Amino acid sequence: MAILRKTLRGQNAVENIFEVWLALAGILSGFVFFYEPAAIDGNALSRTIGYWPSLAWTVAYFASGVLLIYGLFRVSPRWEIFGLFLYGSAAVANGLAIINVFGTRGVATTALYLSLSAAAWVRAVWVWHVVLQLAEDHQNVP
Amino acid sequence: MFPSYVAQATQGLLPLLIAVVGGGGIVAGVVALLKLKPETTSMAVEQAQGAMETMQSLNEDLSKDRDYYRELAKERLTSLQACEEELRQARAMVRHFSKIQGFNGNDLED
Repeated sequence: MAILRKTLRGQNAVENIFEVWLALAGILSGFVFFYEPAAIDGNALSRTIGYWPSLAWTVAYFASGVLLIYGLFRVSPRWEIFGLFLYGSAAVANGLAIINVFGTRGVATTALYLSLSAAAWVRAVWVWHVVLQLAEDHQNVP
Repeated sequence: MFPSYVAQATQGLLPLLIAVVGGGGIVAGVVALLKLKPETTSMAVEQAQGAMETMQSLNEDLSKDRDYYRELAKERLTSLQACEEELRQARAMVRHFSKIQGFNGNDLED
């Protein structure tokens, strides 16, 4: 059973490699800020909403990355879903800020961020649905 | 840059929009955490593990079946080849004897 659980963890992470990549990007973003807090001084978000909300945004990026990694490797879908929703929020905020600052020059980047947000939210809702379905199936097993 | 009237119109809206979508995502995440109890998720994970175990067992069975049918097909092929060889020899013999007896062996299908 322990081997099976380990396999499930590994498989869960490998099958969701895109999520792992998102998580690593979030964590990296957080690390950059913790290493050099001035990194967010002139970025699009701080120019749009100010320094402190940008700080919250960086923390959200970092936290979403940690939650995604935890959710995937510990096979804990509730934390994974939370991480996905959080990541979606952070990415959409970044996307809107970029188009606000760079205008039409930032359309492609904004589209990318908005797509990532949509993907993260759709994935969160899908995982939520699957978890509920599996739990129901488990209860119906004689 | 966008035309100035677009920039002006969206100047105050964007931070609000960011706050709404940002806050909305966090609220949705918290709702998910509250709605999905740890028991629910552990049941789901257990069910997924059970499904995975069943899938592995089915894969093993399928693999065994595949090996069995592959061997069976090999045996049947060998047997068929032996039959064809016997048939070929029989036809050759029929031709041979037909020639001896003046029978037109070319009527036989090859």
